[in-house]
Amino acid sequence: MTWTLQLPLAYGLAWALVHFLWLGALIALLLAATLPLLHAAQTRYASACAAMTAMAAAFVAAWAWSMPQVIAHAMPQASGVASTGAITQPVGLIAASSAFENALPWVVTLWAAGALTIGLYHLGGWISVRRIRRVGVCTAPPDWQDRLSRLASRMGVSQRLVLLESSLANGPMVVGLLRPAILFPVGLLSGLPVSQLEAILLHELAHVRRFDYLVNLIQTVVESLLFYHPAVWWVSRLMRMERENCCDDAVVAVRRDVGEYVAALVTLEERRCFGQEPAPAATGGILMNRIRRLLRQPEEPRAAAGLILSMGLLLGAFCVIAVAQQAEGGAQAAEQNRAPSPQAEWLNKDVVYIIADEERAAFERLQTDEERDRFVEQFWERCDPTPGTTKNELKDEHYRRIEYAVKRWTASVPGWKTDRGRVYILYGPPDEIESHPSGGTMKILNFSSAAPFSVWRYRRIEGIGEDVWALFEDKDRTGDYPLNRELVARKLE
Amino acid sequence: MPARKSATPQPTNAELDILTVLWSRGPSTVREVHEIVVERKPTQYTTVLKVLQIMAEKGLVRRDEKQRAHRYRASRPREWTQRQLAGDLLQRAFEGSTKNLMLGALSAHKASKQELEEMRRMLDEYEENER
Repeated sequence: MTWTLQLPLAYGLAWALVHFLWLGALIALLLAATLPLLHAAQTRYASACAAMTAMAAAFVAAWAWSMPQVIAHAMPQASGVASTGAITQPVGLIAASSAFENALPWVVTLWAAGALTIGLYHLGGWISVRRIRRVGVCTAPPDWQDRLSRLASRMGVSQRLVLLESSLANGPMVVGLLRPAILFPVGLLSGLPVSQLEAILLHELAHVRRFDYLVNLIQTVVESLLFYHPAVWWVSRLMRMERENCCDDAVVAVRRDVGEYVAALVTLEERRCFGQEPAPAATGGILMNRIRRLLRQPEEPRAAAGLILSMGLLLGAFCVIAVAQQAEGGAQAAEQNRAPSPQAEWLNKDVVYIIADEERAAFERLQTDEERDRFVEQFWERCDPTPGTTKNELKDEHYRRIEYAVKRWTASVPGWKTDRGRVYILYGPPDEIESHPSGGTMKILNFSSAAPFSVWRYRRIEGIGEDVWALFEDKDRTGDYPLNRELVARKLE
Repeated sequence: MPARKSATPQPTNAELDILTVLWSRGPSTVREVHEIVVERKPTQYTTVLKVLQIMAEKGLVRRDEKQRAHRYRASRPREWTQRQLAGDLLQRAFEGSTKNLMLGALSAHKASKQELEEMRRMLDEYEENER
């Protein structure tokens, strides 16, 4: 399987998927803690919507945050010394750990497969709903259209609506985003008392007034993308449930007769033969609880399985991330214990791969920090491709590479010290990368290994030649991927 | 292959539209059917007539020839066709996606028989108290 670091989006996505495990669980827990304080269906629904939005936002934020930064941080202009500080800082959420890194392509692949499957499923559902809207329908008799517009104005719906009788719908439903239609199974109009039918119509009208069709579509998209998290299922289920409760309340607010309405709901459920989502239906949701609620009967304790699972995942994810961060933290602590001076760090880290021997010797001869600072400044000025401008493109790119290497390859040693880091800092991003996170064979180089390895190809490197290949093999499985010496910069015909 | 007597063929979309009208309004003349169909789709009177004749041949509708204007009525109750179509519809909608069953169960959370009985009981209890 191929995994290239030229795909910062995918790399960020993988980390966002991992981090969402605890982010999602955290949001769900917050919601679960808030819910017992809220009693009105409207506020409960609003909180569930807010939680769903927060989940989507958290995921996007985690994605943005985990993306390797392509543009270097703005470097302080005045002194080259201070700029090094920006690089040793912890790189956001990214706690690079080799075992994790190797699993990341799989995380993305599995997620994509799951999201695609669920997306297709919902697409199928959506197509079938559209078909139900168009096929096997006829407009209901005119007296019912009049009744509908009368009820619509009582419910405060200004949109033009049509009542259709349908052979395919097996329960009353609202379909359509711009020109919504209310569908009643054909025959229902003559099968139930008019007062009950009006109550059902009011329920559907409440869905129209509240834009539930649109919200449900958006909800379904979010749910399909974050399908792997039980907390999302839980919040989504809660939204669906409270949405129906809200509509129930709206019906009861307009017509005081609860008994009539409940009788209508029960009769509808008895007549139903198949269930169809994702059109919000009067029979949708957990009918039993809705009826209990309407009749003010004590509700059964709700299943908290999703919540418990979320908490488990939360803890699990915390542990994994803590371990990963400890690995990185340890490496950083070791670095900090030595507490090098900024000038020494400049020599031994920032420019270690690019400084010439004579320059190094000259730098080491300097006596004071002021002299060294001036040296650093002059060093960068000498290689500025556009002297006279405030920007030094070469320097910016160099620091970007260092930062990238730290983010990307820090395992047992900081990323910039690894061979991959060194090659990257010296020669920039390769033209091609082929990764074998679980070993394999690379025919063109006549190489095979059970250990993870990664092959880079540069089309051309100044001073070395054309078509240069570098093979990094993680022989000791430390995640450091040392360069396989035999193959370094070998020119292939 | 000879068609079995019980197997009334699946109606096409146009036929289903007309069946829906017949189920909704009861036995109707071609003109009456046409008036309602045309509200949703521009359709020629002769087209409706032709479709109804084909449907009569297929056995989807019966023609009552006692009056001067022939009246058509659906030969099957709507529930029967609805059940047939619903099964077929699900198959068609999720063609190409093999993993639908997992979520199909979720969307079909219909109340169980016991639940329905419980609901009825609660409703009766409520109405007793209200009286």
